[in-house]
Amino acid sequence: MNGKHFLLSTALFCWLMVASLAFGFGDLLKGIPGIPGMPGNVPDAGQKKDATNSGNTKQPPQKGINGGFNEIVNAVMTTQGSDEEFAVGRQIAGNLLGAAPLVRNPKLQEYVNKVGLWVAMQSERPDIPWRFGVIETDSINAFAVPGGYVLITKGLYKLLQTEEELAGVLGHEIAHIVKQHHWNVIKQQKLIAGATNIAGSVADNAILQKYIGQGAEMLARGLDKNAEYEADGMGVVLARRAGYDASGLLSVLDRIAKKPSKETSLLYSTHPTPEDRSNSLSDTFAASSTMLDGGKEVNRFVRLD
Amino acid sequence: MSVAVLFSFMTVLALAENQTGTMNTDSKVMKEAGADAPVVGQLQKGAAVQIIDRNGGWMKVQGGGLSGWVKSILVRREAKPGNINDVAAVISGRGATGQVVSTSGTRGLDADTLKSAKFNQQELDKLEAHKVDNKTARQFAQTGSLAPISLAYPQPVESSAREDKK
Repeated sequence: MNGKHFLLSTALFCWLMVASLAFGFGDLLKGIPGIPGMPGNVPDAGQKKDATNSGNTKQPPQKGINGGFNEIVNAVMTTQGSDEEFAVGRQIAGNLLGAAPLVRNPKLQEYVNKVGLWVAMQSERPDIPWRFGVIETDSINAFAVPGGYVLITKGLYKLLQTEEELAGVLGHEIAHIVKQHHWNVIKQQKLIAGATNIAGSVADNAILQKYIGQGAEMLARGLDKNAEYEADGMGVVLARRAGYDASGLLSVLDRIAKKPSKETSLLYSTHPTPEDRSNSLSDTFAASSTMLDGGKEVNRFVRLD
Repeated sequence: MSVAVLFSFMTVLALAENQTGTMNTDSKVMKEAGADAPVVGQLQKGAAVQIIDRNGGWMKVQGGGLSGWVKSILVRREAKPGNINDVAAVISGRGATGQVVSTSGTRGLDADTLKSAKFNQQELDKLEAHKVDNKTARQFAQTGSLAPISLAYPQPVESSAREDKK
């Protein structure tokens, strides 16, 4: 066998592995009850190139299956993958809420859901079941969980002063979910761990838990720095798309940089420093900052004391 | 030890109010924080500035014999060695041991807490109960006079901010 053939067969083998895993997941997750509003067919945001956004923020991207081999592969991977994503995300969100429950303040929770959904509706995944919440801990952080769960800590919320700042923070987390940053990490780990043995008819929390490790530890691991910078840039754009003054996220980063404390330890261990993030945003937008002009400041922020 | 940490923390906080920066592009300098304010001058890309104040997306700077407001996204923040981030590491315990030091009071959401978290269906149900639908979100946006626009995501740029240590 020459090298070329070897490469080709290796690639084919890998694809078959991946494809069978995808189907296996689908079977596994079919029987899981209570996945909120799980759509049968989710827009394939994972395929979308961020830099070539069409600018059409109203409609989810529709990808036709018109016979192209790659299109069929993509469609299969994406829809099957989405079912896994919702089920695994739900498990992680439930674990995170086990570590820090929701703040008992319905007015606050509803407000965060309104701002969050409005921003998420401007993204490439407007129709997934977005859920937003403020969780009871003084730590300063926010979490993006695959499938549409965004949880912000009370400590971070109390640092915020305006709705556009909230929109910027939520925009960053929404961007992680749109780009499936965490989900891609989980999928890679499953491939490495040889996940074939989970395919089967039994579908329960214990099996899902096996996938994601202990509790919500994957949220403590952090992403590649470039994923964080990308989410910052996208978060700024998402907030502006929603009509907000685009400077909210930058203001929050500058405020966090001035308030180092034990409350920011996990944030610092999983993200670049706030200064590096501010500077990355500056590098990204300095030459074209006027495109961010014109957003609104909305004076109805729900304060949390 | 704790007194020393507290002291250095306060010193650095005082310095942080006097942060320096560099203009990341040419920019008009305004008399007030806002695009409609009178222009008092111009700063060139690369100009060193002192950061005096912040207001929303605006930053009051001093440099090149000028004092006034520029958009905060146009300024690179100076990252000095021994800056507040190192203090954050000391306070969080990372600087000394790599472990988060346990502190009295409420338990923070650290890696260990996340790892030992147990699935909570009740809280997940509550989260579900607070959801809103698209129509509600649209009305909410309208009430706030928020007009959606089309805007492409930025191209990733090579940032010197990304060359820092792991």
